[in-house]
Amino acid sequence: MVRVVRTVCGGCMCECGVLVYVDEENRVFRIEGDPKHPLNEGYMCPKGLSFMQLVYHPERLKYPLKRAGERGEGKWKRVSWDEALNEISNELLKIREKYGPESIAISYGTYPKRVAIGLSIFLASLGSPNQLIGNCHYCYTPHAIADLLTCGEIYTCELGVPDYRKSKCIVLWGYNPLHTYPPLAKKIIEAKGEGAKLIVVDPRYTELASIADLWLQVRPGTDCALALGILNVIINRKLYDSEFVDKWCYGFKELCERVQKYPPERVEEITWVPKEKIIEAAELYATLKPASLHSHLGVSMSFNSVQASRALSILVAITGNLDIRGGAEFPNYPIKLTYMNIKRRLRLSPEVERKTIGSDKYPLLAGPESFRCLPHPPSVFEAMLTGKPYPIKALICTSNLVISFEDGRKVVEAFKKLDLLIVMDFFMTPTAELADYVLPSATYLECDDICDAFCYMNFIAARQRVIEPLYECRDDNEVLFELLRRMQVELPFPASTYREFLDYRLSDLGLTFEEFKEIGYIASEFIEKKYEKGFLREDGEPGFRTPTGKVELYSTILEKYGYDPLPEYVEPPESPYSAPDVAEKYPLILITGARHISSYQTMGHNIPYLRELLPHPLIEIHPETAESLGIKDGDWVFIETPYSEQRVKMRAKLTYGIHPKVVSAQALWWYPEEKTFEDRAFKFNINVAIPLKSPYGYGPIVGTNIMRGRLCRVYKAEDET
Amino acid sequence: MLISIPNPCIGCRSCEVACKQINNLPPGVYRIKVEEVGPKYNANGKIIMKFRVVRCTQCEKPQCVNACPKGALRKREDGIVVLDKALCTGCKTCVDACPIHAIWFNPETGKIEKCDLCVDKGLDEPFCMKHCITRSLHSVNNRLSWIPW
Repeated sequence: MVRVVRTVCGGCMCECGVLVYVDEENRVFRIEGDPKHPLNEGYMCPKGLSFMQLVYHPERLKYPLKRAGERGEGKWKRVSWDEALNEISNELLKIREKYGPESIAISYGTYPKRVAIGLSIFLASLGSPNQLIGNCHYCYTPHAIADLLTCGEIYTCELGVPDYRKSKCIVLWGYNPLHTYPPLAKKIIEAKGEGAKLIVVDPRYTELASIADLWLQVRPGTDCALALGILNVIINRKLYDSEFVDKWCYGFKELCERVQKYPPERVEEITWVPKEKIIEAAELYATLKPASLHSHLGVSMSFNSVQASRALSILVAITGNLDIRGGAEFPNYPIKLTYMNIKRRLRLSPEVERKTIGSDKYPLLAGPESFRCLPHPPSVFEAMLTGKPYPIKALICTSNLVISFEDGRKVVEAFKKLDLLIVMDFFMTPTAELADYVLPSATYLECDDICDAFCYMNFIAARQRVIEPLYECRDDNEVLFELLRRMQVELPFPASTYREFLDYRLSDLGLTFEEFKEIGYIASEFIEKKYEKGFLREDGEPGFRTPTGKVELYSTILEKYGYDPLPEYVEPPESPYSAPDVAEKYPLILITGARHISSYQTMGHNIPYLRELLPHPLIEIHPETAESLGIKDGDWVFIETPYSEQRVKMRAKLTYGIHPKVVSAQALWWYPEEKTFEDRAFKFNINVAIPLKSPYGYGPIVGTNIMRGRLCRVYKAEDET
Repeated sequence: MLISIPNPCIGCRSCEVACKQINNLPPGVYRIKVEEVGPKYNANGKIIMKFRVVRCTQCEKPQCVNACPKGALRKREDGIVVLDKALCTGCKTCVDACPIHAIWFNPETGKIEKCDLCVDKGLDEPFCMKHCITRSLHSVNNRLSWIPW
């Protein structure tokens, strides 16, 4: 008999509801969108629709493997789980004994399986603070820190997403949800159909820009100036919410003074956005309420990421859009132990957190006074390479860092210095190839979990095991709990297995996971303006979770740490204006990191239905620029950057949707089918053209490495097919 | 209020993959396909980007039906043009006859593939329609009038 199981997709981090059809032989034969799920409402993107091809992929990892030759040589010995787990726990205990717990690190990306929870518990239980979130120095973290500095909540990136159909104006700033958060794009399209105004700020003319009321083609890396220009118009024309500003904001006077440096005329010169459009955007955004504004990598991958994002946080605040329906909705989950709160509960003692790598340079990112206590990722690789400030000896890695991190060659070099590298994955990725132990992961169809959809508020959903794990695959979270048990380490929660932990998370609802599975999902009511009701602060008083209790337009925390308390534009250090000598040889501005709906981070290139949608990595070039370089549409080209000896090969896509002085290279490409490691991992991957450290170093506050707004040159790859 | 947008496709390409999943189609073989037009400048100097969806429109007078030498294609009473797989020899005459290039040859089965709006799948709507990201912008939502552009 055919079974239909309601569960939650794990093709990316969106967590859409799905209905999975299973035949008599327990084989999944159909996956479709769940019309009852509040996020996707029946929609499903290509990744979710093709997920069966991942589950039943012939190259899926099937058994635990142990390295049998040199690191990366490709020689493996199949071992039992018992052997693997015993050996790994012994090794880890030895390393902890000899070098201290901080020499053990974990790494996860936005890995679509919630292994972050298991890993965080694992690492905190061992007593190490080095929880490496792969690329946090230029991903979500700059936005999160900017928002937390401003008002103690996160709302301009990933969190604070409203039901867009309640918004009258939607701003997408350096953020392309059609490719990265498709179910949200669906809601945006619906809102637009019902008459909402849409403003897209992007150097690329995206699909959503093509239906927008206003498209601001900003020069890469100048978003901070553009936001300050919009603030200038809003403030000088008194379009802000004066009642909210008077009652709840701190430092408005100083902000007014600061924005006077950014009249639209000057901002046009900096950003290349015509001043008429700057004024129009400011008027639209400030006069339509509720309005929502969300951003992502377009802003956080720039040098001055936190300050740029701060300007956006302030835009949302002074227009009175904080914590209202259709604006920036602060979360209100039905359970206390959400993904975020679990991580808050796992903070270690100040003495231990002080050892977090990078805490000396980036105290707001790492260390006891930081918001999240995350190590500075490039510094972790430096520590692996140099042993300074102390050596990192073991890494448990659930992401594909060789591809997803900048300067993949350095990553490989660093990994070769480790005593122990454990990789958990579905496939033998270039990162897994370097491991000592490779552990086969179960997919979302083979796991139980609680999903508190990260990008969409106020509900939790049950992910339930649809089929038994194939081969000898196991749920990563269960494996990590099992490892802790074998190491006889005490857990911070009353649970000895991950499944017990799920029951514990539901205990404040009086439910077991088994009962929750039957219910499917639970939503809680959105409460507007929680700051008025005393729901945000720990002391229960009205106001915000900041030192002044107000929305800090002028940040007292930044002031305390010696940073500029107000957002200020800084020219990107490697631009045609700041580095004209470099620009002579490298005349084009490079954006790396444009995503495509057919892949999620480094996943998808070996899935036939997805690869077919995008068989090769593309670099977008304006037709006039291409003509001057003798490049035709579809030609293979090489991309070179200063400070990197690696050239990267991609296919030219000629488009008028990009500025003639800008090129955009797609992110995170690798070729699973290529014969050599070099060709698989590096040849087509734009990340290897970004040096781990450039002469001008990293950006302030979180140590961002510039991924957008660098310089490059592009030339035709002759005789190459 | 539903504003009328003549071509609401925005290029998410879920329809392509949904169709492939339900019909188990190999690479290079489709029953529905999305093509990007632009970004380019129109006559008024405005930048535009459009998407064209290639899929059988179940035409009034289907030339594929006339062209098929084996009588494998027929137009049902409800208007849907369907293929009798047992009769198809894969001669591709219909592939050439279709004026909008909405019939594909499947080398794995040696037969042709064309959209039949999922009539034989036991679904209450075509699988692609269910997964269309701009579905709310389509003014007509019944099976036969489901034209995703």
